Amino acid sequence: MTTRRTAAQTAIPDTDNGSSSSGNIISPRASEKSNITPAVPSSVIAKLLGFTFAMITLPISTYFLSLNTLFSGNSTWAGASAAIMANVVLLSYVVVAFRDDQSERAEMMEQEKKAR
Amino acid sequence: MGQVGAFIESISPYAWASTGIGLCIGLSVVGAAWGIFITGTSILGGGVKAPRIRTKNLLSIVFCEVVAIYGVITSIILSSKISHLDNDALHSGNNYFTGFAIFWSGVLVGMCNLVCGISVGINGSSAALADAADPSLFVKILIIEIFSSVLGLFGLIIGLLLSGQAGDFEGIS
Repeated sequence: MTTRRTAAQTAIPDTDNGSSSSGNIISPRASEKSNITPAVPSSVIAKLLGFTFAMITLPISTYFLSLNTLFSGNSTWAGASAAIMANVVLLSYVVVAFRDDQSERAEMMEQEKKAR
Repeated sequence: MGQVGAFIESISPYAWASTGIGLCIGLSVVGAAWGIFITGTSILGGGVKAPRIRTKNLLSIVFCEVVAIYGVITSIILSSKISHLDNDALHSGNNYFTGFAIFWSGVLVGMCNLVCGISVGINGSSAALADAADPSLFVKILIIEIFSSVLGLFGLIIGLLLSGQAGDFEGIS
């Protein structure tokens, strides 16, 4: 192992000198694969899409479904219930976002502990 | 002054009602879009340096979106009051009242949502940047954001009450 390490250490400056003299500016690390996995996990994207869909469809479908069944044609109450549904979606997003944030923070704390 | 009143009366109630519905949804969407583009640029800008602000701060975008939903709901309710009538039957006191009520509740909801959307957007933008700098600040700014999002709800409530007073367009029976 030790002989190998010394060989590698001596080899790196050699290649550096060679590349700079030949005018090639690609650093030795460029051959390594860079990390291209998406920064946002797919569960977050699914949650966002779900809430977007719910926000578009839920209030309006509540209005049209409750207009003639629950409120017998009174559009004021049906509109109020649609507004309430919009706020229900909003509140559930608040809850989900904060739960996500807390679990993320707990993960970060654990990683810090492991690093120590 | 009588000429002003005569001019207003010479405008068809359909024109008042349709203008009100158009202003309602149009101004609401302008407010929501304005808020979203202010907030969105701040979230993206702050997220470059502090990627952890992603999920929580999209809340501000949803707050802006709700403002547009209020406008959509009100426009649907207002447009359900419009039905076709013959020209003679249209010019009755009831129909004038319906036209004016739809126009002004549309303007009311639209203007409330326009200002509310801008207010939520500027608050959300500050929330994103403050959260990027110090995570403990987010909840405090969120409370202010909820207050500004309630402003749009006030407009929706009064718009629903005002348009609820007006009946549909009706012929003289």
